[in-house]
Amino acid sequence: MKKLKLVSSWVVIGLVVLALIALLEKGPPIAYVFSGASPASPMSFGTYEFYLLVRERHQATAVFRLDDLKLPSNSRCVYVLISPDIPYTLEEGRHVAKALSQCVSYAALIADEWGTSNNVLIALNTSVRVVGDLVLDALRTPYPQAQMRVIGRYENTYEITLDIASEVSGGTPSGFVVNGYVVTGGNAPPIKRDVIYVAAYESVKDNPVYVIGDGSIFLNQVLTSKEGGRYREFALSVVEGLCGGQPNCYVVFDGSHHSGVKASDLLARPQLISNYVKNPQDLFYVITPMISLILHPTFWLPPLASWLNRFTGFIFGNELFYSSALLFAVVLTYYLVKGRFPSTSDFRLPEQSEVELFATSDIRNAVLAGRVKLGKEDFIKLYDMVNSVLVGVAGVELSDEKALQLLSKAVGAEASLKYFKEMNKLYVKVKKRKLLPIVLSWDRRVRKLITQSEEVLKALGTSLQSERGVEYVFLRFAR
Amino acid sequence: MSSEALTQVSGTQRLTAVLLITAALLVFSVFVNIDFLMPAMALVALIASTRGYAVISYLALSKCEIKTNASVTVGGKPLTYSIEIFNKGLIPIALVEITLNYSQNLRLVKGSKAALLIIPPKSSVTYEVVFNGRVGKHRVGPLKAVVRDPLGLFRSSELELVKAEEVAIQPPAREVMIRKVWTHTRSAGVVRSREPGLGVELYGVREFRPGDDLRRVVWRTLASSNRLSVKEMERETYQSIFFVVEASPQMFYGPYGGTPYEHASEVIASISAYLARRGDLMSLVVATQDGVLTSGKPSRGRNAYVKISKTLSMVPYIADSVDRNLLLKKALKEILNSLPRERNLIFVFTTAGDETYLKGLLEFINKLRSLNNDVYVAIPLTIAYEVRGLPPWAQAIYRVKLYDKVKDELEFARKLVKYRARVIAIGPQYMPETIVRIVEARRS
Repeated sequence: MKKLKLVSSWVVIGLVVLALIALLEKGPPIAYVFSGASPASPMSFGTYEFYLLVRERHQATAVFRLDDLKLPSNSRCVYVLISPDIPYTLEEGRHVAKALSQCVSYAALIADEWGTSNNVLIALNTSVRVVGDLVLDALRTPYPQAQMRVIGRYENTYEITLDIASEVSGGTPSGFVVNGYVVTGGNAPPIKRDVIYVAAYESVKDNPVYVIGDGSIFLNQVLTSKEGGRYREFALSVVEGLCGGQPNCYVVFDGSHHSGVKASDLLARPQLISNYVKNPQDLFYVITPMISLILHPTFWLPPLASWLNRFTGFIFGNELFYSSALLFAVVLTYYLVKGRFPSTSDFRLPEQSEVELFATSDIRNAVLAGRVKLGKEDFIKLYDMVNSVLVGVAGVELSDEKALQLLSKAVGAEASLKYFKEMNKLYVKVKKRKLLPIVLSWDRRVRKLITQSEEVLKALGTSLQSERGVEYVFLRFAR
Repeated sequence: MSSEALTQVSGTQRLTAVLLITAALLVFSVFVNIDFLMPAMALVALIASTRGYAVISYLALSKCEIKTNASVTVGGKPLTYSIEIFNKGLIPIALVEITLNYSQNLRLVKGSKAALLIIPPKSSVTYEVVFNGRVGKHRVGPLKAVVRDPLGLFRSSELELVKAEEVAIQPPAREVMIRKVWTHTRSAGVVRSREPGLGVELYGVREFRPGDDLRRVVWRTLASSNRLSVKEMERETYQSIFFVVEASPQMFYGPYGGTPYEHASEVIASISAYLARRGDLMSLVVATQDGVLTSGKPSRGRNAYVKISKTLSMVPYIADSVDRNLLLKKALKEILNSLPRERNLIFVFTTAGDETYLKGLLEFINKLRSLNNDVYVAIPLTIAYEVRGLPPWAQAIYRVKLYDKVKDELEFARKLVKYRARVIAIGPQYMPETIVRIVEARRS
């Protein structure tokens, strides 16, 4: 069945050109690679897993500019801020607080080890603060075991390993490290404490704020690790607790203060890539936005156009190249146009051939074309034919003297004697392989003897040269 | 304009040159001087218009009304085949090339195998050819055509205007031959028997003898004169004759119109025309590669002659080798189905062959003879047929060269005779008289 082509190739090419122009007009994609705990980062230090985890249960979103922080007025809102890289100003904190106040009620989860989120806490009117010091365990490593209590509906206590955590002050403590050390300054000696609070809870006008002095427990690398189950449970319990069992809980992740770099900058300075890659999987997330940039026409089309421009300038400037280019263009145009017409070789229609079949076609054609050569074997055949006719008609053999008498009556004494002698001598020569008489050309000799034999056969009432020939004599004998 | 017609028209090698010039002019108009654009556009318009015309012509030709006519003929007479092509449309079909295919065994004697036609609108053209008719079944057609535009830039694919037809040519019953055999039989004194015996014609009434069939008693005589008499019928002298043709490729070798098959056909047709007047029962069986053809149960009169002629005209020409013994077996099966239970005269037309064929032929003959039939084998001498048409000097050389073949064929005949088969080894001459002599000799 013939395939129907709905869209021609030219239409497809036109659409591709239009698409390229549109892409150029729109500009390259703005892709970021985040280094910190951004909810948009699927890399080791990002919190994208946490975001996905929450989104499975609640309506969730992430904002990357504070101006975009617009919350629904008919829901309970939960504000999640994990380890912001850039400190919040009080103004920004107030902006957050104002946005949250639009909701029916709200809660906040702030996990921060540097204190960069304290202005948000101030704006939310809580007494809780992230101290910004470093909590060590009994062995003075920055990975202390903390007892964390989840408040609210799913109240429970979890034992969590912290990673470079900070002390939290104010509010109602809900997480602590026992027998640990605190490092307050750069070169200050660790101070031993029996209990160090690393999480606190405070409710301001029935709006709970839960602060944890470590954001690393929500990172992708923790949640997807072998022991990630415990952390996932903890993280979900915290969020569920803050949602307070509300069915229309709206969770917003703030990614506005996480530092990132444009993929185009990484493309321009590839040496920066190593800063963002912690494991091979991260490399994939760094390379992908770069590839999307490379594939975009804004990356390759302007240089290509520029190169073509220079190339055509070069071609037009050189007479030899110009002529060659013209010739090439002619050939190309020819093939493009020719492709529109199916071609065929125009020959006249074959004519019907006629054949006449002969059982002996080869010999017949050869005789007619004069290609036949007669030899000594043909002489023997001629001799046999004449002999057979003589035997059939007169009962004498050609070698017999009586045949000579018969022939002399028919064709004359002299001619018959000559014929009789020649035929018999040659017959003896061939049969007994004698040297004499010498025959220079059998072809000429046999042709001559055929002519002489015709005279003899005619006299005997038959012929070699008429349609009713000697074979009729043989037929007579055959019956 | 149908898209199918568009695909049927292709550019020719002449178009290549025009396209090349057009491409060059187009490129020059872009890169050198815009003045080249006008001639380039003119050429593009020319290409488009010629292609359009070729497509329209193709469509017009495919919608033409075609009428064919083949004259009824017999072997040796001309067979006229004409094709009328009527262009019903308003577009003149400027250049149509046609070519007629036909069986390669046929020979065109008048007209052309191919032609170039111009068919004006609302008009017709007639293409006529004349073949030298030869006995047998032949194919005439298909008539193929292609259309071109007047400049020959485009050409259509082949269009089959007329499908292949089969033409059956009957053998002529040569009046000369019939007269010859009539004269022969008259001079031999062959007439009605005028003897009492089995038959349908009344011979007379005689006294009843013991053993006479009571159904033949003349009751009227018994009632009037109280004498028991019976009707006596004239003895029937009709013969039941079967012609068998072994149509192997060897039967079709020879000069045009003079092959053993054609000669045998003419002989059979002429003899059947003669025997039809004599009221003999006749039937024909032809064993061909495609199967056995028969004129049916033995019948008499003109009906039998017509049936035999028609059967001979249905025999296809074959060139591929066949198992000749198989042909004989098929023929025997057919004959046995329709053979009357009486002493039949069977003439088998065949050619000489090898030892295996000799054996098969003898089996065939003996089987028929065992059923109380007289079987004659007519073997044409190949050289006697093939020598015809050659100049005298060539005939002599040809005879010398093929003397061994003559000897072989005669040897084949001699072997058949040796095994008590009745053989008519013969050339084109005297065959009808020989066969009629056999028929009439048996009648008397």
